[in-house]
Amino acid sequence: MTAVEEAGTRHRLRSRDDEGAPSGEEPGAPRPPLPWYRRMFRDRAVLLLALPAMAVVIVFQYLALGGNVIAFQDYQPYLGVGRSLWVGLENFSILFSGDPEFLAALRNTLIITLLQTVLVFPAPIILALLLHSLVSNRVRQWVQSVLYLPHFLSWVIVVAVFQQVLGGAGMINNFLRAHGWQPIDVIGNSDAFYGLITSQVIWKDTGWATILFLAVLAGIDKSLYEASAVDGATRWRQTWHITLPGMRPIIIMLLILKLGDSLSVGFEQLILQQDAVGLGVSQVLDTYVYNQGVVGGYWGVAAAVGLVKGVLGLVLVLVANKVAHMFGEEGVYRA
Amino acid sequence: MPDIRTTGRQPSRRNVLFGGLGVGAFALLAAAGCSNEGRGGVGAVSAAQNSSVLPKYIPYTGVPMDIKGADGVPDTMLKYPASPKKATSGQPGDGEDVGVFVMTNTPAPPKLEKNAYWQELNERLGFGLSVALTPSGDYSDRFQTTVAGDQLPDIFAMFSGDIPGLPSLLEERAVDLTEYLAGDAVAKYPFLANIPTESWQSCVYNGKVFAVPVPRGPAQSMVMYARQDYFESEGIDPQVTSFEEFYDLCKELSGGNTWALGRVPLGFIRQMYEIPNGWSEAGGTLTSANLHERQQDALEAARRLVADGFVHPDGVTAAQPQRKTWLVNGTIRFLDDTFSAWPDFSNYPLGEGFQLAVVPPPLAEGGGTAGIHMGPQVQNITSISAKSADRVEALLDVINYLAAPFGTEEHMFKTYGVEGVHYELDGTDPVPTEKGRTEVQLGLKYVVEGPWVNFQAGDPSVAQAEHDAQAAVVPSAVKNPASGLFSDTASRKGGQIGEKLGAVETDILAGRQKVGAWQPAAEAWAKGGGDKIRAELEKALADRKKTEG
Repeated sequence: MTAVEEAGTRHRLRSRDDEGAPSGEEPGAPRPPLPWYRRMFRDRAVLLLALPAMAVVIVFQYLALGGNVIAFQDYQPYLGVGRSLWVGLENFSILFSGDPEFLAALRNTLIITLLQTVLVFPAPIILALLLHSLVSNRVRQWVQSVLYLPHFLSWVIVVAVFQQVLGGAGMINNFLRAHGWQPIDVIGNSDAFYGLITSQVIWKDTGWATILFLAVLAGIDKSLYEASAVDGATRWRQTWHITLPGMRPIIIMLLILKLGDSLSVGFEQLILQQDAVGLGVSQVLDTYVYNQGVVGGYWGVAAAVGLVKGVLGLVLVLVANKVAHMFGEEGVYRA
Repeated sequence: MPDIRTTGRQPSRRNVLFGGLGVGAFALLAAAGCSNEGRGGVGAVSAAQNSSVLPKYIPYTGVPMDIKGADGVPDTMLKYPASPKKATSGQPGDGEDVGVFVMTNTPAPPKLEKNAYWQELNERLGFGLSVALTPSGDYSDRFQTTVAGDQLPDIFAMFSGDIPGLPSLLEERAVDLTEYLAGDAVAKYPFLANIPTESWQSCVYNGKVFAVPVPRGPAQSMVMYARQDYFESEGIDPQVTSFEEFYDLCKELSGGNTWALGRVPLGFIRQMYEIPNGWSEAGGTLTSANLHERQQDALEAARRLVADGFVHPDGVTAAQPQRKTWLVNGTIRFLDDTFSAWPDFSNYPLGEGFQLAVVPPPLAEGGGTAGIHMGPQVQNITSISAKSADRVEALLDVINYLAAPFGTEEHMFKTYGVEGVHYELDGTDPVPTEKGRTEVQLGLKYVVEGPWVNFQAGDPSVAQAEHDAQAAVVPSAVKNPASGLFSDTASRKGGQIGEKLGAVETDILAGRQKVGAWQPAAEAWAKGGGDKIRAELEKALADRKKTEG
């Protein structure tokens, strides 16, 4: 996605340059836009560069969308899409019939989404501000590297690490028991589950997510800080009046993008820990789709739920983008 | 042995409750396979038609057994036969490469280039065998996606109880093997003819033979293992005579960083409370074990073991190899597993004097011994892809070769590899070397196998103990009256409704729901499909009785 977007941006920039300052013509004189085939020819090198990325997106994003036809079928893997029975909207009835399992999955998804938006999303911003305030470059780079590392561990490893440390027979509890104290019940305790998975996400991805914010912070004009210091602004006031406003566009853009996949709350992380805490708290839309479809053989229902989830995500992005425009922000894009 | 899936996705609840792995009271419910139509609209086929195509049982007599099994107990060998004889001539197959998709319970073996066993195997076969392995816990999920992607290779294994709409799938994707295997035709494949008839019942659908079984039966029965050497050294007798005695013993064994149990032994406890094996039958009427009046007593008993801290805290999430490690290193003292798991312990770093014993379930209130639940007749089944229909005889020849019975040269190589490389001879016993333990794990024993034989290379006392334990509990084992019967609803919906009930069971054991939640959940199970499954099984049962006269 990104590669193509980048290519698209470059393409737009380039054409704007061409339109803005054509050589050998009166500057400022409006020129009729070139027909599309001329523009294609002119930009052929850039377009060629974009092709591989386009191919990836087309094959894995757009062609794959065709699979959604399963949502309208009584799909059987051995019959394939071609020969499975067409059932229309029957698979969607689960959304409206109030199936308790589906509602529970929806509820858990929304709870986790809320937690992730409130607790996980601001974490890298705060961390970036803290890192930015470190004076020594060497210390900062070292801290950064340490914080990035967990991002490269797979969820299987992360879950195992948490299990080894906090599990019922993990390091801490073994120590407690060996000294005659009561063990603490974290892993496998459904009441602590949301806290656990939120901390896992924060531990794993916060460091990595700071990269973007640090880049933005580095781009803020130093002279603003100097000027405000002359005016007697404290560090706190500088953060409030210079740093945060400087970060605002990127924060809003990321927040909107986050909303788009806010209903995907970490399939792998949850499915790995589902057995320990039961489906009551851990079944979310993604695991519901998996359990219904791949495990249970109800592929049609699973695809229907997945499709609705995708559409909801799209609607959320579009609405959030509109709202951002209303507040004078750039948002993700402008039509 | 390193554990490949310490925190990986566990076998899905459905695998555990309903699958060919055969655990607990539900084991045979869907694992059983036989007659009737599937989803593809094939007409109803009576049990009679199905049993008419069952391959004839022609036992292989080339290798005399040390202890012949009786009353359902498998045969036992104390020593591997000296200089095993080749039982086939020439190379199997048609010389073309063969692809296999199969499950495994061991870490993945080295790649072909670095695997002397695999290379030698290809040499002997005369063609390249490519094997796609998936851990058994993930197998059925992976299988479904492989089917959807139309990627099934020439030969593929299945947990028959885990696949919704199995008969229709087989009609579409597997070769009908009836003309090659039904009745006397199987004689052409002597090692397949050596597989007992009961196991073939899980391979016949819509009146056609679609697969070859990996036979088990008694060997797949779940039993309670105890660390006999520990109990002896402590002067404790693990052979409990009631649930309360078991509870007290567990209490005594738990403390600090040791626990009595590796997981909740729900099957063992259900046996104590005489809850039937899947179904019970009276005059042609079946009743599901789920609705048994003592289920809540059993759950209450099991829940107490968890609540009072006698079960390893990671017992729910750990994989079974991890629990075996705990038993071996003394973290736990009891672990339930199948009889077939016994020889598996030799792959672990066993301490001096390591010894297991089987504890038969006592009646919960004392006063006698309860029956164990007889395991499913098959571990899994294996079919030939419809796309390879033109090579079916060659592929059956390969499968036959891989089914070579215990004591033949082919079996020795398939199971143990090459002498001096993969095993060292201890007397006549092939004792695996480190290289052997890793390289030989190609999952071939789940493609097809001869009948189960109790044997432990290098330690006849293990096979003897296994035999003795089986002789004590197998003849009185409680069978599932629906074993070998097929229900279309069970095949299509059994997994889904079973998963819901299983979730309630897990919640009760973990203390998240009251024991009283079971009854309504079990009734919901019955309404949601259980009753229909019962009706279908009753009809199939009546059919079978008519045939048997």
